[in-house]
Amino acid sequence: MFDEMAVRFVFLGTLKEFAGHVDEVEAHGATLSEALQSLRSAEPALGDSICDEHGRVRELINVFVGGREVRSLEGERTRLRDGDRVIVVPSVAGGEE
Amino acid sequence: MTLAGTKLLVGTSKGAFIFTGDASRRNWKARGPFFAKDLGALGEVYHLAIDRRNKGRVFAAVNPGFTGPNVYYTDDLGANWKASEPPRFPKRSKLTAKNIWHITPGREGEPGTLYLGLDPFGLFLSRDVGEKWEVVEGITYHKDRREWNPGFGGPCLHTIALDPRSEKEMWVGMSAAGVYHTSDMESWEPRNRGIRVDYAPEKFPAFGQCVHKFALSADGRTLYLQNHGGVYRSEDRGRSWIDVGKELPSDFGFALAAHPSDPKTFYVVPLETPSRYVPEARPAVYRTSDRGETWQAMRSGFPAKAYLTVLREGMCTDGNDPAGVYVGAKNGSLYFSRDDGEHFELLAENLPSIVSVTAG
Repeated sequence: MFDEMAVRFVFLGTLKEFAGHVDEVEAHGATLSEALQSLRSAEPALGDSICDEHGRVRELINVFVGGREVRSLEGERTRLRDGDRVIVVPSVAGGEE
Repeated sequence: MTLAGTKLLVGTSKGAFIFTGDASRRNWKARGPFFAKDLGALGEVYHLAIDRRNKGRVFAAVNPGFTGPNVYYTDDLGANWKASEPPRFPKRSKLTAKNIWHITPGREGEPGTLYLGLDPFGLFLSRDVGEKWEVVEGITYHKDRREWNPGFGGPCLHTIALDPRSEKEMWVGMSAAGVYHTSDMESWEPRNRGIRVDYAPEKFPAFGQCVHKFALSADGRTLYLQNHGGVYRSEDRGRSWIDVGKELPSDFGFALAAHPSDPKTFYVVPLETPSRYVPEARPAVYRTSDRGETWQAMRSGFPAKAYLTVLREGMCTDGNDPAGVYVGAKNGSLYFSRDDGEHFELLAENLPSIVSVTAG
């Protein structure tokens, strides 16, 4: 059902290693939630690194659509357009170290 | 080949190490670090376990930080690791797995079973030697849950003690919810009577204790416990506890380990508060040989002055005679004793911050 809308997940930082050192992975969906579900079906470990068991984007993962972080849009319900690039970036770590 | 020699599994803030000792336990060979690079900068390994029922398979609780936690296992001492299907809470719970704190292989009579303790408060088990995990609902969705509060390390289930004589009797420890017990894996009851909660209005509540670690004695009849405040003993399977730590230089500490064959002997590492390093920066393991009635400070082999902090899983014993006692500190120093704790030696130093040690 997601086949009509193809998007590309682009992985930066540490997540690139989870993606098998590839830069981009194709997925399908009209919303981010659907695209994440599609990604998770195809690449369970990679999907699990981005989302928790309820399909929510993990706290320290940032997802950008159209240059905006999805938490400032509609979160997992953010609508996607055919050909969108969904950029996934882990939070920058410095913290206590 | 995997099973030969004593194994010491070390979890750190930057990956895991596996040390193999020779027959004398004088010489150790290190492998690792594992997970330090391949899981990014936050590849914390909170705990490891070796399963001698299953050809020495080693399990690691890996908490990458950015992404979800998982169990990895190896059958060749780290040459190859395989990921479990991650332990995840069912959708209806709305809980998200944050960190895996503890792994315990099951009893001899349940050869495929292992148990996991998670943050947020959760107990999982595997029936297929760690391939998949399922939530243990009786404790994870306990009616008391809404009143459990997190300790400083988060709402974690960090201790699992199995009664070797019964396939369904076990205890778990949670911070800061206390000790819970089951006889059937379905109904669980708090067992904290006599354990003090200094920081709460009610000093002896039914639950809510910030238990740090506990262990069963070698004969399975006595429980020893390091609480946030106080060291305790229970002779009645946790129904009641008495404070046996009044002689110690501090009632605070994290680590506790039982002797593998002498049921009267166990070990703790008191820490000062609020600094949380050893009292007066004089490292010692405190040993009792009479179930906590009297204590000896075992200092031989430790530096005269060192600001050591030993965390919850930072001390263990092995199954040898005399027993090995292993202590890993946050500053990356790893000490061991080959004689029941009489003398300690430095096994390794300048490791990443040590979170756990497990011998087997």
